[in-house]
Order: sequence, then C-alpha cells, then structure tokens
Amino acid sequence: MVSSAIERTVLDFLTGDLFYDKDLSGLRETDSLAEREILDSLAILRIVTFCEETFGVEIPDTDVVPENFDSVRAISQLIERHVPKNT
Amino acid sequence: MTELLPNLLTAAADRWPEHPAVVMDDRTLSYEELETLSNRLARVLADRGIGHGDRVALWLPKCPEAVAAIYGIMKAGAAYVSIDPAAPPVRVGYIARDCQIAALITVSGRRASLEREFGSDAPMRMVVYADSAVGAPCIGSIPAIKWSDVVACPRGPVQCPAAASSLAYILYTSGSTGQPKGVAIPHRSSLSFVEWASATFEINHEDRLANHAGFHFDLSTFDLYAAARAGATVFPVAPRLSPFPAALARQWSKDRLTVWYATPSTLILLLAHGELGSVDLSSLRVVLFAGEVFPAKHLRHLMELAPQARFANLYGPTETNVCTWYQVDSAPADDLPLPIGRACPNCEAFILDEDLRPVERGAVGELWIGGGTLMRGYFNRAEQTAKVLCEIETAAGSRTLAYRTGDLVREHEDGLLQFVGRRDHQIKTRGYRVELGEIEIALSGHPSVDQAVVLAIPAEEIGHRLAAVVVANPGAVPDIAELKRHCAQLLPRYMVPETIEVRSSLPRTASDKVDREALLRMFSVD
Repeated sequence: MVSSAIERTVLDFLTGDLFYDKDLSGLRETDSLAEREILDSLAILRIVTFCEETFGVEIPDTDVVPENFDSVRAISQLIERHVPKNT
Repeated sequence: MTELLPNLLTAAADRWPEHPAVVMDDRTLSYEELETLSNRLARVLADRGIGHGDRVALWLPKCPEAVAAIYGIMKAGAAYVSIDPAAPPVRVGYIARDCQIAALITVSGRRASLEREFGSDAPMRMVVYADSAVGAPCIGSIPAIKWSDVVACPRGPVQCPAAASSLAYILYTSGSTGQPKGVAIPHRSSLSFVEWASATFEINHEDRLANHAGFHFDLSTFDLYAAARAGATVFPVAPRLSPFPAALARQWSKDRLTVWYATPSTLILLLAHGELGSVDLSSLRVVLFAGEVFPAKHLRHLMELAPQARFANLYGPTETNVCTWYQVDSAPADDLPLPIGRACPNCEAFILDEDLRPVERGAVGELWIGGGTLMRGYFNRAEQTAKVLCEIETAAGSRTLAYRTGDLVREHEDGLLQFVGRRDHQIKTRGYRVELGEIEIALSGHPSVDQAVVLAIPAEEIGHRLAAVVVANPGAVPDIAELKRHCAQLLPRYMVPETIEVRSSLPRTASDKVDREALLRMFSVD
C-alpha cells in the first residue's frame, strides 16, 4: 500500500471508530493529535492494536513514543517502517 | 502540626527557597517561585472578593500553573474543585453549577466548549486562563484574565481567612443516582492523612515523588502535599507523556524518582509495555499502590525489578482518603488478593452487620471508618451524606462519627483486613471508581432505550471492563455507535461501555429484579 492509502486507513479509524465522540472534521494528516488532547493510554493501545492487526506489522514497545503518534502521518510512517521488506 | 495545606508550601519556601518544588518536562518551579506564583493568584481572587466559603474550579491539562493555582485558591481561603481534564463539557457544567463555583481556571483552547456549555448561565464570576500570553476573551459575559496578568500581581502573601475545619478541596466521584457527587474535604482531614503518610514512608527533603494521578484524584494529595511538607520535589507527568508507558518509564528513571504512588492499572501498564526491565530503577525507594486490587503475579514482577524498594498497599475511598494499609514485606507466594491491612493510627475500622453491630471475628461485614481523615460530607447533598456518615456505637460503648464504605471485609486471625466485595454496584475500572447506576441512567436517557443494565466483566489488568445490555423503546432501533456517543457526551470515557448489546428483554430473578448474574454468565460464554 502506498503512504497515502495507509494515511487514509489510519485517518478513517481515528475519526470514524476510535474517537467517535470527538469532532475531528477537517483533521489533516499532519495535524497534531497531542494538541487536540485526545490521546490517552487506552487510545494508544487501541491504535497500536489496530495498526498491527490491519497492516500485519509488529510495533515494539520502544516505538510507542509521543513522536510516533502525534499525527496520522507519523503513525503511517511508523507502520511503513515495520512493514516486512518483501511487501 | 500545621493547620492548613498551603502552610506546608509557605514553610518549605521559607526553609528551602531555591529547592525545586515542581519539575515537569523541561520546566522547574522552585519553592520560592511556587510560593510567589500562588500568592499572586490568591491576590487575584481576593481582590475580586473570592475567598472563604467559595469554590474555584480547575479544568485544564496538568501543568505547573495548575499546581500554583491549587495553592493559590486555598491561600485565598477558597476550596479548589479539580475537574478531570478529559471530562466532557456537560460534566464540567454540571459540577460547576452543583458547587456554584466563583471562578474557573482553564486554558484558552477550551473557551469555545465552555461558552457552548454555559451560554449565559455560568455560575462563576471570573475566568483565569493559565496559558494565554495575549488576549483573554470572555466566556459569555464572564470577564477573564490571562496568566500574564496573574504574574504581574503583587507577590506578597494574602491573609488566609481559612481555618483547619474549612474546606480545602472537593473531588467529584461517580454517583449511583445518575450525577457525580462532590466529596468535600477540610484541611484538617487532608493533613491528617498527609502527616501519617509522610511519617510512615519517611518522606524527606531529598525525595523525588512521581505524580501520575490527576489532580481530581485523591492520590494526588499525597504527591503534592507530602512533597511540600518535606520540601521534596514533585514530578507531575506531562500529558504528552502519560499515554506512552515506555517513554514514561524512561523519564521516571532519568528523573531518578524515589517514590511512586499509582493505581495498579498504571503499574501494570508500565510492566506490560514500559520495558521496565531495561531502565534503571535503583533510585526507587517506595512504591505505593491504591484504588484497586493489584494481581499478585504483576506485583511479584515489579518487586523483582525494584528489590530495594518498600512496597505498600493503601486502601481508602475518597471520603476517607487512605484509612488502612498493608506493607508487602516479601513477594506474595500465591495469587491470593493482598490484604488491605490494618487501620492507620489516625483512623478506626469497624466491621458491622446490617444492624450496625460488630460481627464476630472472621465473619464478613461492612467496613465503617472513623477518625481524623473523614470528609465533611457530599457537597450540597445532606440527605445522601446522612446515609453514609453517621454516629455508630463502638465496642467500648461510646459513639463516634463513621463513614459507611460499602465494602465488605473480613478480619483474619492476625488482625489483617481482607476485601471481600461490594454491597452495591460500585466497581473499579482502570483505577477509577464507577457507579454502574450512573451509566445505566445515562443510557436510559437516550430516546431509543427503554431499559439499560451495565455489567462489570472482571479483567485482571484493569479491574473490570464495562458492557451494557439495553432494551429498546417500542418501535426504536438503537444504534450502538450513537449510544456510545451519547454516553461520551455525559460521562468520562472510562465510563463508556466497551460493548453495548441490544436484547428484546432482560432475564429476571424470582423476585423480578434484573438477573445480573445470568447476564454476566452470558458475557462470559461469549
């Protein structure tokens, strides 16, 4: 999958599923999620699980850090870094 | 012993002015700076006639300004009402109106949602933005000032009109009748706990205390006030770091923290995802946990990683703060739940039957707590207070005021108390206290729902998961996503059921009550 397709999938998950109660209309791929004050430990665990199950990647705990989850783009780039090389 | 919580700060600033009081991210406030900043905020409030007998709410992300504001509010003589920063605006509005706040400390980014919530019906008469360097837009017709105005105020102390019996803070907890209730704590009750905890765990000037709990959670009172009492340093966890266990673990190690006080859910998250085995925990001296059961296997793991630390299980509802405790001298050999221990020396524990008579030793009874840490009551709820705070007769024949915890316990031969269960539908999830009734009332308030039952499914790492079963109103077809959104507008996210199922009817017991046990069995099979 190309980067923009991954971003679209992540964006759809965040806006349509995980943060069902937040107004994330107009959220862009590079917008800071931390600034919107919507991330908590439960949300992070769910994002990691979604990424692993949807894209078949394994995200080590050491990569679950603020800079890798601050935007849709950052999350997508994290996924790409962990996609097996022959994909 | 000092009479007021803010006196702890003033004494520490007098003795150790240059010592770091609060460290968060790359920001440090010394004791002198914290003292001065809180004096300035107290002046701002006092100059506007806000003080003794008033409540001032805080609704903002954790930051050093919030700590200064907490002390400043108390110095003005008022009680602080710290609201969960993640609470939905509807809940903020309810709390603000319920305790008729005189002022609100918040951040400018929340102004729009506050204006939508309050309209022209805001109870407060001023707003303070803790972040704005420029501009201070009103909320409706309520004037606002920015933090730079606070910083420009005179730095000298304000004469504090409060007394030991005055309210220091009100913390709102989940209410079974559908709305949260405010637990009102006077200075002397909080100080009774702080004095005991500081002495028992030997909190000293060199200590570096984590503060993970939000300021709306009573665990934070240990972090803030035990630190201030000793002139130690408190390290509030930055909101950007809190959701990331590995980053948090690294930061706590880097900060060379000596004292951790957290819920088991937090500690388990660190154990499971924080790579605790690869960070240096040698500075850790004391690990305290409270709020829920700490499964033995996880406690053993943590004790292996920090063998030099002292571990203790603290028990106590918000209404009494910590009232019993149990020191874990060695890693548990089995998987049985830890005892909640013995009553703290400043508290008394009574195990009573339905007629308020002491049960026989070893028998299960309800735990009542007396002593110096009791709440004054639920704010503005005399009737509810009277149901749980009343005089009981002691074994010696005297009468004493005691709080009915709702927890069922038994006393072992060795005098240790063991938690057995609840007598009602209050449960813990992720360390938070939840009245299932509050969620049921929220769900039942949706136009498509006729009846709602919320179940607490035991889950080892977080206490319980929440699942709901609803019966639709005739002709209605409940939409699950819409029901979750409806709940999220009224309740904190941790109270929104993870799953909601629609059924045509609910199973009933022989006495025609909803058969919760049958529903729980259905979820267990699923």
